[in-house]
Amino acid sequence: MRPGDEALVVRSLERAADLGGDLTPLVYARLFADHPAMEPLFIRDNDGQVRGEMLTRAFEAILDFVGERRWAATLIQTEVVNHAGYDVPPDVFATFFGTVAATLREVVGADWTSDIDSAWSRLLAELDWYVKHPDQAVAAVGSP
Amino acid sequence: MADGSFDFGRAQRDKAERMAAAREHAYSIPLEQIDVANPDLWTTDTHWPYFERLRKEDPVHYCVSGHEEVGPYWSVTKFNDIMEVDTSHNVFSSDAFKGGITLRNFDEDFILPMFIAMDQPKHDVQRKTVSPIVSPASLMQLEPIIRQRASGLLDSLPVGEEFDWVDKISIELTTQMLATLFDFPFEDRRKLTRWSDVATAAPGMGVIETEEQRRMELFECVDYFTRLWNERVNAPPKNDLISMLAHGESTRNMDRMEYLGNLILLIVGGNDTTRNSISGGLMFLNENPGEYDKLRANPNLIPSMVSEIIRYQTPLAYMRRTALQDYTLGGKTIKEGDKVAMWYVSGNRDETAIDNPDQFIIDRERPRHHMSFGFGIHRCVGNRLAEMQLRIVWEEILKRYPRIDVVGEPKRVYSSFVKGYESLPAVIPARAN
Repeated sequence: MRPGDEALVVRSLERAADLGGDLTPLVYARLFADHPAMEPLFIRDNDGQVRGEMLTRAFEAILDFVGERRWAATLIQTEVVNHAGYDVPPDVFATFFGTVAATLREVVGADWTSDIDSAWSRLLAELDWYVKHPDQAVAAVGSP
Repeated sequence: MADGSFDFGRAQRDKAERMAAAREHAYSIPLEQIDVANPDLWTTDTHWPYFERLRKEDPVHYCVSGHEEVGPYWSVTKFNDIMEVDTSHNVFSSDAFKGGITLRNFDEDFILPMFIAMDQPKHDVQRKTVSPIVSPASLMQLEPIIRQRASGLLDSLPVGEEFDWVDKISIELTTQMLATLFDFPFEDRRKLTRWSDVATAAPGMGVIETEEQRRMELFECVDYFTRLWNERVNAPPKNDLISMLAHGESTRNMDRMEYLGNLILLIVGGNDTTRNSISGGLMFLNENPGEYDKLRANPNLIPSMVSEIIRYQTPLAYMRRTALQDYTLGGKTIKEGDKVAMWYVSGNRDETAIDNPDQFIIDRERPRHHMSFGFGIHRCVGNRLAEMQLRIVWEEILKRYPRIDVVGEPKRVYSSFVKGYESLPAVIPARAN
């Protein structure tokens, strides 16, 4: 990522919060439309708490990742491992961040500038690296 | 009260006085003398101000002289620092042969490997062997069984007379559940309770007298389970934990100690944690009558209350790791080989991560924002089952009893690891016809 990307990502999140309120239904509608096999995994989440908390954690991870990066990278790696235990393949796990970005783009609309778009592209590429390298021993040597 | 019955308000005031004295002590001693792993602080429930001070003044704290069974150790007390350690399994090991997941010094001739006390890659495959038992499909099958049992137990409670909530409900319900998960002979199910207590108790504090007694009883446990293994391994695979272990590629060749280790993990994980959250829930509602009113007025709050109970109780106070290399955390250098305790109980009260963390609030905005299940590859595999059990218990309680009163002080477990209750006296008030 580049200097200034953090501010652009934060700005896009703040703008989406202003415009869209609770993004949870939008994000999961998109996720289930793109990956119908994911929906049964949430079948017992009657009140949406699990989905809401998962999305909030994804936002917190994004903010840590573009900022101090204290735990987001390792959390993503461990969640890839944990989700594999639920038979969620890594490529679908990676898709979640893309789904979040696409939902934000839709909500933010005309305020989604090319600068923001580029910052998110770089962010998604770096997140994807950790998704594809969940082995922390390997990642310690070759992280981006 | 004049008639000698329990005065809850008086008990609350006594508790406040006890806490004030603990706070004064916590803030008056040199930081390096703070030893939050001292079990005395946990039987009296006075550990809170020590953690409060550590979070403020020394969030990554080194205790040079922990009591003799522990020795020196690091305490990590803030939410984000715990996240950092808990997700960095390449730096912080859980390996039983390096010390495992508890602070007590381990006996090299009695090491119990279990998947929670393993590093990758062995951890991942063993965990995956048993995780289908808590899949969404499996939970759907278990729900009516749990509901039926909870209903039966609640219907059998005496009305208008004192009983021990821990024994009658918390232990019995979780033990029955555990027996089902193992397909364990139902009439012997209290053996599971005993083995769970034996595995985590400190010698000389009421459960076991000596370390030798612990070993002897745990060997009885593995002998019993070996008989079950031998039955299951020669039968087609079934959906119970023993059959899963006996047929699992990564577990079918476990030696006796590794089998025992994984049994203890599943017994303690499936028993103590849910048990103590069931007990804690009743106590917190009694301590916070406004929240109890809220619950009665709106039973739809049960799912969020369950998460709040789990946060507020934090049934496992910490997990220990061992540093595999020097590592800087919060400006401190943790040295290779050092013991590190991630105090979930303190992270769950970190005011920089959770709003009003010392308040029990059943309709929080983010009830699931807590660390009681841990993070990283060792995050509690049975978290959904635990939540489901608690939800069902409270759904069934509210159908029957608008009020269950706590009528005495709880007796707390002598442990800084298992944060729990030995007993909790309760009464269901008789209702006028």
